[in-house]
Amino acid sequence: MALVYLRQEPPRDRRLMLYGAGFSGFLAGFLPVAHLGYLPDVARLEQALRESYHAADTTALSPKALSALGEAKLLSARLQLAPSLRVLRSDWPIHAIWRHTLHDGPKPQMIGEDVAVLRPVYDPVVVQLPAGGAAFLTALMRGAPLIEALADTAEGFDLGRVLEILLTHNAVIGATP
Amino acid sequence: MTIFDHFARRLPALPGVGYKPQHFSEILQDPDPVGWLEVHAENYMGAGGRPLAQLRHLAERFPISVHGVGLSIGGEAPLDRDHLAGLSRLCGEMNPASFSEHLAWSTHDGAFLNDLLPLPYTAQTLARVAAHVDQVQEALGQQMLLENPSTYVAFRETVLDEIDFLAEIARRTGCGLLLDVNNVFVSCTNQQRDPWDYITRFPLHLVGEIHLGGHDADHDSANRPLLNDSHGTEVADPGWALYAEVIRRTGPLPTLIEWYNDVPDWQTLAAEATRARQILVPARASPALPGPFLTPKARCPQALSAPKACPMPNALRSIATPSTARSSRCSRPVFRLCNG
Repeated sequence: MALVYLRQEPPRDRRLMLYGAGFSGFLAGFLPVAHLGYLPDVARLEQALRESYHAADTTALSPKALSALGEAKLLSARLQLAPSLRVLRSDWPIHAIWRHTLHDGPKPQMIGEDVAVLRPVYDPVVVQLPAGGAAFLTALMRGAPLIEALADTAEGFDLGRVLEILLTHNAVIGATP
Repeated sequence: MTIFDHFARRLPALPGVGYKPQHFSEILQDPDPVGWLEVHAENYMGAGGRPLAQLRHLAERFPISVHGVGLSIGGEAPLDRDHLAGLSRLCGEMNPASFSEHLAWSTHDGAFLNDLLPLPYTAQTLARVAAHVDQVQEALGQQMLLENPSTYVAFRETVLDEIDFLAEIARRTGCGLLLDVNNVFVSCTNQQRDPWDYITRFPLHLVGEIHLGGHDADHDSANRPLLNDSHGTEVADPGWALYAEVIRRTGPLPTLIEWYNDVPDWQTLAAEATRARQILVPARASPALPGPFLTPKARCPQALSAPKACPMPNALRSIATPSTARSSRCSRPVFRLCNG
């Protein structure tokens, strides 16, 4: 399967660490694995981990610096997020499948998972996001102010949990009021 | 190694090894007998992360040789400007003692083939390779070494001898040569030539570095021996014999042990380096035939102490390669691809 992909989409960049960005799309159209619906999304997760591993190094903003802004300023601020952050949404339990097949994790429950790939220092980790977390983070990554990103979330959205995930994984690197 | 080596920005005439991340901690704790390290440039051309953090740390302690495997100097197309700019950034940051690339091509129609393929030796290819070498030296602001390739068959259109071709490139561009002794043995065996004749005729005074590595032995359809430059085993006995003869003629030269597939533990790799040192050290006692290699375009003097053993401080543990990454079940992405 990898050989078919290689022939169909040989690397253009000589840095092979970046090769494979189109693998997920290839899998989605490759009939012999059409019955493994989750495979393209798991490949996206793998690619996100690799991109995160090689992303630029950054210095995190401390939680103290963020809380020093005060609530009003924080809400109108745009957060700069680490270039090693990746957000993935899936109708499949991609993280559970990945852990189950590669790291002896428990058998996956067949419910969709939204995940963030974060790199606190040098090793990327996968963290499951609460409901609405992926849309919220995607908005922040687009450069939307916090309050605008919040407007897209449903009632009961756990902002505290998402900020905790970002801050404990060194993913906030700046805040522009 | 002397302080002069650093000021002259050249590799010390000691054994070096191709760096593999699984050896990071052991190299820092006890590098002996390894005096310098070589890395494949393309594996360190990401934006950041552990690979670059490790290389920065190593470059403060060891002379580094940056060895490109993807520039396609022998290709028909112009050099890839983005790739050359990336190499230039890497060399600018790491200030390597040496930069080297291959007399080979690896791209076609924009696709990267991740192999080092041979080219015919003609007046046209000579002019093209010389122009490419000029361009690289201009971009990096330093002399480069050009490595003799592993070949399997000869081209019908070839009219120049490989050695004359390499010597002429060096004459036109001022580049040095990297003599891969294993490639000599592989190419000569595959083409029924005499490797001893090859090294006798080679312009050894232009050699700035030697590569030693292992190969796989197979047979072609006519049942003749066919060797493959696999870099996955110990250096073979004929390789050691040819190497000893080169060193007898040149005196000590920086000598790299290349072992990139089925990577062994550090002790096994260091034992290969020790074997190279046993050939290098007696050579130091007796004057060599040609003079030592000198880098004409030396720049950026850099004060460094000789590598020595040091315990690993806590701050370093985060950049050390996690032990889980040594198995196939690693916490890092699977399908992690590396050049070379």
